Amino acid sequence: MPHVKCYWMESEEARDQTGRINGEMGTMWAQDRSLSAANDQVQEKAWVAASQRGDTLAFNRLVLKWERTVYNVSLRMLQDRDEATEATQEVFLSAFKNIRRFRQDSKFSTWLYRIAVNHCISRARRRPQGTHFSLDNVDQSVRPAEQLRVTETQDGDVLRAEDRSRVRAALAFLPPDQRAVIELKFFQEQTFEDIAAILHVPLSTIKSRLYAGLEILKVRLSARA
Amino acid sequence: MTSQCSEHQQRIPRSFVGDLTAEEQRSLDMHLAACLPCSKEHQRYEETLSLLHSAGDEPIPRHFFVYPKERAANPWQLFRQMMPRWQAAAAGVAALLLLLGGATVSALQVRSDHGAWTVSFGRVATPASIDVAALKADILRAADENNRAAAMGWIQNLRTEITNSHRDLTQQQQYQLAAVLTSLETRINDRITATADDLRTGAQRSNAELYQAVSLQHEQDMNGVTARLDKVVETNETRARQTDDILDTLLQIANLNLKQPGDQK
Repeated sequence: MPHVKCYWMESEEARDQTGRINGEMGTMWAQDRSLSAANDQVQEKAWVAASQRGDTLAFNRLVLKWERTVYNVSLRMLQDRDEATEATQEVFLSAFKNIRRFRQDSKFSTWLYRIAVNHCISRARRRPQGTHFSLDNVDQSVRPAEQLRVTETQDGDVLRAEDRSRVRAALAFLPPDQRAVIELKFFQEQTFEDIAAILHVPLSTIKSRLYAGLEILKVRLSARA
Repeated sequence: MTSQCSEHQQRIPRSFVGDLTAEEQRSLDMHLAACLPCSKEHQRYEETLSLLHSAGDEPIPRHFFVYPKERAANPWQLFRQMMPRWQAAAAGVAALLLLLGGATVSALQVRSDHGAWTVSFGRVATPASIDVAALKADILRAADENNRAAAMGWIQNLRTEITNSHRDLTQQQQYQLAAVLTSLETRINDRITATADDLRTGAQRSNAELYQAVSLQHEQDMNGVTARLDKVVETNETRARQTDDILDTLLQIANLNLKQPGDQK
């Protein structure tokens, strides 16, 4: 919420006025956000409908909107950039081929998360037995020098890159099922009901996986800190 | 660390995702305010979640657009991607093409004449062969029709002549002609009736004669059969009598033979 400071008004009346203005602007901003979100939903539905009629351009608009999300879901699930890139392309290709089966009774994002998470879980399970991601392996795969270069040029936020590296390292210790729940709950901010719908498992299972995963993350991240 | 700590430490992660009731949350808050180890545990969860939230997303290495050629392009999937109206139209066209194709293939003929192969569609024109019997029948039918037409023409002419002659007659002549025709008709009818009676009488007479002849023949046959039967009976009686005589003779001889040994004893 934007904050308006009026340094020249020092009286109580002035502070009240400032508070009122801030409140009004906050309301306007919230309305603007909800309007924008509603517009986004309408626009997305139109793109989905056009994609179902075979409009590739409309589908690629959906790709443009969701590719960053799907890529990061894949990256946190698979812990490898090349594999995450491959998986993301496969997820969009699968969505493109099956878009006509999508009934718009749920959100497109829910449907896309379902494809992405299930794809990543099955990819992770297909890995040869004995492949375990240790912290050192993850650190090597992350390649800190490259990570720093990318983030400095694009975001200029070295600390965030380090955080990401630590989080991914900790996530590597989770089984794919728990990782999927943590991803959907804390990174994609889905409700328990949505997560249950995406993963096709009961609500109680979702919660138990979440708390078990959170416990492991707490241990790993605290230990590193 | 109290006995309640274990229960409250289980509630700590739940509190971060809003999975506690208001009562449970209030109880946890009160416990955290009083218990240092649980408070530290709460802080560790807080830091962990803060780290998760602060990690954020990485930028994408490239775009992930899809291209039309990547969509499976087999005819069935293309058909499924169509709007229902276009699906109906496409199905109609396909059915029509199938029908035409079937008709064409069914009329396709491949022939070999003296080593030369010929491929043709539709009905093949065969050389005309002369059917003598059919030709004869046709000629006869034509002649018959011709004859019938000629006869009809002759009858038509006759009728016309009669009508013309009838028109020239006077009233009295017409009456006389009608009387003559009536008389002629009566006499013809009488003649026909007499002929029919003669035929009927003749038929009755011939029936009676036939009956008498058959009866006579039957009587003669019966007499012949009776005479033959009498003769057979007489012959049988004669033979039976002769057989009895022979048997008597044989018995007498046998009696004589039986008496002679006893008399000697």
